[in-house]
Amino acid sequence: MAHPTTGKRFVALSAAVALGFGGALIAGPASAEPTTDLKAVAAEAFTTSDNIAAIGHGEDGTIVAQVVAEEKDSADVETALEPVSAFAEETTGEELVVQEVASNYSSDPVSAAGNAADAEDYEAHDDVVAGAGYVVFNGDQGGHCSIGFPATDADGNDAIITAGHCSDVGGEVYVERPSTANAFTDTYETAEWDETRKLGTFTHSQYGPDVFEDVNNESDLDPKTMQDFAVITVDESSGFNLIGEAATWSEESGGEDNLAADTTPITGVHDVTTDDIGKEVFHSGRTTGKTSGNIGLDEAYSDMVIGGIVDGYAPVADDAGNDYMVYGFASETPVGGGDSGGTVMLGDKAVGVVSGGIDAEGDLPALLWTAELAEGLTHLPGDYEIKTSEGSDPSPTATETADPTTPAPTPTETEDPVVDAELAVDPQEITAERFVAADEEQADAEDRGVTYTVEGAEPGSEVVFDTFAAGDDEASKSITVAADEDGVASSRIWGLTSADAEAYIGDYDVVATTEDETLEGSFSVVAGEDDGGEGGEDLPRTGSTVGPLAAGAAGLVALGGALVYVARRRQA
Amino acid sequence: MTNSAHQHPVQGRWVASNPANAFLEFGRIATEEQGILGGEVGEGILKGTDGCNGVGGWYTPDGDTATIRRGFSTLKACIGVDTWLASTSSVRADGDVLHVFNRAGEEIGTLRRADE
Repeated sequence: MAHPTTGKRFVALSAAVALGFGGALIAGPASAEPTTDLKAVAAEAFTTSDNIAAIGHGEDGTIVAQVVAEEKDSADVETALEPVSAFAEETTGEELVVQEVASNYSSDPVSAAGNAADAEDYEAHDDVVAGAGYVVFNGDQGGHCSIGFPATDADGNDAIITAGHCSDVGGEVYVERPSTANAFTDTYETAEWDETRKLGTFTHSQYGPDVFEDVNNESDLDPKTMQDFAVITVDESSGFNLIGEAATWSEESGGEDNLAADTTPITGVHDVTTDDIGKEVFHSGRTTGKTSGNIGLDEAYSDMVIGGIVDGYAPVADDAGNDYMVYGFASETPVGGGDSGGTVMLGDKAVGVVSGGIDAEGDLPALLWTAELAEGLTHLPGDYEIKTSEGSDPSPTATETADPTTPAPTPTETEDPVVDAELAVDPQEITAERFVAADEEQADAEDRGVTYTVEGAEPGSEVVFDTFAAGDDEASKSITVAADEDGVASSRIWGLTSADAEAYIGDYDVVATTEDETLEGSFSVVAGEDDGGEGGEDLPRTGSTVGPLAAGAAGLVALGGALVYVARRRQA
Repeated sequence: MTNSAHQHPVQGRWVASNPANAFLEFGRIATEEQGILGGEVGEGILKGTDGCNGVGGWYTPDGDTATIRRGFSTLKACIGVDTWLASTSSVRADGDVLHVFNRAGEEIGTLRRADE
């Protein structure tokens, strides 16, 4: 049983029967019509005998029952298989295929076999992003985890960074179908993956190895022996295209089975320090999708972490009951089983992978323990570089706290974190002709419309830009942009050409709301021909956008036009 | 008093029939003289697994029952594994049977005392 067998759907023998849950749990796919009936006979069989390991569809459409070898001739097995046998003959015209197995899955419960059967219907999208789900098989063990970060090794070969506890070296990895993951279906039983194309293989895996019991005082703490990171070397012939962006798990991208359709940028690696306590991080993974929470720890949890909330150590219990120590940081971010190994971000910076979690309980918030990436990268065998979004600086020096080449006149993080934010609206007067653009591409290429830039915001924090047509109380357009590591949040607004340019003539107020202040600005759209004029100070453009947003510009719809926003960020 | 006889009925190792590798082990209780990392005096250390992820943390014994304070556990998903033990919140020992309850106080299953 080294591997899932295509075409075979196992039905887990569930403790539910023995424990009186009131019915057998059947880990079968939601599709495939006959399964519905098979479920009923399977449940009956499991209730009759403890020695039926699995019942499912075999190759060539046969029905297969796996029976504990030692008990295959026993009366209860015979009785249990009667309805299954009848079902097989009725529905397939073939006799039930009985396979002998050493024991039932109650003593070998790691059969993640099953829904790859649907692989024939599913071809994974070529684009693979951070936070996507994967299935890993290692010997007869299998499970689901999430991709941490696409990366490259020193020779430029594609690799993936994820959690060490997801698999030992040798684990074979397949891409999970996004729309079948818990993030969209809220159940594990729908999971499907593309078994026809292996994504890659675990070539490095470290978890611990130091355990909780080994720690008697702080001198026993050592990041080198307290890691939870792994490297999946990507199969070059697989044809997958690894992208340095993180999945948002939006309904749209899930529905298309293409998580790359909606992502947030990754611009580098950030070393989380005490300065980051209280800042919001978000995680991306196949079970809970995208969730967020602040770096920190409820007091009631404080004794679970040794040596600090950030740059700290926590015991993370694994499937063997061992408490391996993991270096990282805590945040109040909800996560679930299957999110392991997934992406953890601070704004647009990569900060770690999901190592462990605690469910919310009563008044206590859910908790995420993140294995910290900046440290983890230094313990990998070889130099691995996290892939970043197009246009950003992929150099390994991005792991440093400040990029000296950044032209922004903002202070570095360590100098003076308390800086009043400033809003720049550029230009403040623009001709109607220059204000409109057919689409984002034209707006960007020809520098049309008006740009808003807030500098001095908290890195990673959200800045809301509201635009009001003069005299309106309600914003014509609103957009939220995350500030980058330099505390810069930027957005472009322009008028759609679906209306006459003159429709936009008038005065506009701009309000930018940061975490702790409100900034105001304005601009005017005036009559006049396209003068091809420059928009003042030129900010570098990158391809990262969050728009165009759907229309809905109350004030401007009345004029027959619509404003479009595009978020921009400074190039690192 | 030391590590020979159990002071409390819940102490020791309890195993599941399914998944067969699932277990809870209620260990030593912290005293003023000998504490437990992360635990307060009176709390014991809990180790265990639901067959897919850890079920560890600390427990507070009370007669034949104990309430559990969970620590971090890994977050894999193992399809085909019935991870009923994951929602363990409290337990009650009854001879060689350990009744396991979830946060709502509902009994979710039983474990049996492992041979020692």
